[in-house]
Amino acid sequence: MGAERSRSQPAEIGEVLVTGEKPTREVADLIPWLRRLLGQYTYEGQVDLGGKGKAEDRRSVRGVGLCIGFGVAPGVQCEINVRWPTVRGPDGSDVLGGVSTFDPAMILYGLEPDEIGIRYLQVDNRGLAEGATGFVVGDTATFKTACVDIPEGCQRTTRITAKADSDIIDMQIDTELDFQLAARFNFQMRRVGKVQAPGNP
Amino acid sequence: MRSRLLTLLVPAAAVGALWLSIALSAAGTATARPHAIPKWKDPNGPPTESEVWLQRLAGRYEFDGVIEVVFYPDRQCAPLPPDPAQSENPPPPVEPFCRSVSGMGDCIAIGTGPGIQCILDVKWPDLYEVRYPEPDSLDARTGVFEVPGGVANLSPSMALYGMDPASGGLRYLLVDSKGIAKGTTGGQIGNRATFTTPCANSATLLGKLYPDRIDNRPPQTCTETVRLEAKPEAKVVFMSVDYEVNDELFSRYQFTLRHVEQTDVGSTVGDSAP
Repeated sequence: MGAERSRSQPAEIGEVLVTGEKPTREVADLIPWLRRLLGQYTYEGQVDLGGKGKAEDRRSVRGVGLCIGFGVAPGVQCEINVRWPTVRGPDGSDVLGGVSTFDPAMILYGLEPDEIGIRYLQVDNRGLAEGATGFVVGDTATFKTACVDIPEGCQRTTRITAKADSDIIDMQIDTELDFQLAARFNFQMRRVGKVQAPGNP
Repeated sequence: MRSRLLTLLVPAAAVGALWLSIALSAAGTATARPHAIPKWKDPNGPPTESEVWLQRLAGRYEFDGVIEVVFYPDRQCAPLPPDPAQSENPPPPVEPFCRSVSGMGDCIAIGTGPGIQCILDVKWPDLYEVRYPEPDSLDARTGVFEVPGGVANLSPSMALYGMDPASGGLRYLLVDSKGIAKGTTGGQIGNRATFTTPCANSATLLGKLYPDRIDNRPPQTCTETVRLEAKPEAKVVFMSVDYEVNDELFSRYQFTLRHVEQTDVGSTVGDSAP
């Protein structure tokens, strides 16, 4: 019976995303997306330190952030303080995502006109710089980069979904070790204060 | 015969058991949650040379300096001497290819780490290359052309500097007043850090330069090299930016960043969070 069932049901796949939308190919179209990031935010959500969706691996997230715009596009600079309860291994060793490094962290977003994307750099409270050029599809920008804090076999994918006229921004940060999801951070940023875009009196 | 078979089977079984043990051990590690992480360096160990250097950038600065197009040596910043032969009906003076720069910058530490965030407000009058029609010249390409780095773009602008352990160096990103990002990974040797990157928005920039620039080759490549020199306990940080077109040095920034007040150690980014 078990064998019959396993034959009839496909194996679970971690994630498959199929979309007909294409990345934005005009720099001018990226500017409205950047403007959606502006604001003062509270952060809520969860970190899943195993990446398997198990309840015992989840920790609640709290924090605040402020994203301001500057210049004409604008460029966007965010300052965040996000934390969750510290988790350590059984022997007290560090575990992936066990300690927040976003308390504080700074993130800078700007236009990448040569590749027609959005470039960011994040510097965390350890001074480590991680960044990439991302591409916007619909309301979501996706950035993929090698993990700066792990020597080999680690990739980090950050997806930021900022819808027009919404006060909620979703941020998902997946860390893969050897192509296996090892940690997933889901942050919901709720805009609690507006920040004027430069050039918009 | 039986004992000979046993002699063959026992070592094979032992090797099999060893492999099974290794496989189970590996599987146990792979499925353990949360994942243990390898480290680049001991977080409680002494700071690296790059970390120490990076922290020297914290502070408030007054910017002074000059931007010049060094590709035309006869049109750099020094004024041209008057030519007596031209005393009657002299031609208009050649505009020197240089601009004075002034401004402010504020660089603060990010939390207690060595990361640095800078807000810059640095200005200069835009610098273009103007080509007037010349009666005896066959060159009909007249007009206003850009020079790399000539148009002011740092008022305001923001920069982030952090560590890049993969390269053992530093990484920065600068977003200028037009929202355009440029940055790269660089190295630090002694008191100087060097970052080399293709010019931002290079496709557009190359199309706006004077076309027959270097050895009658149209501008094809543009690179930008940023050098920052910060000595320990120094009151001044030196910054230069070299723009190369077709691998020839074309224009250069030379800035002196003078500390105007010491950074308040307690006033870091983390403390000012909302």
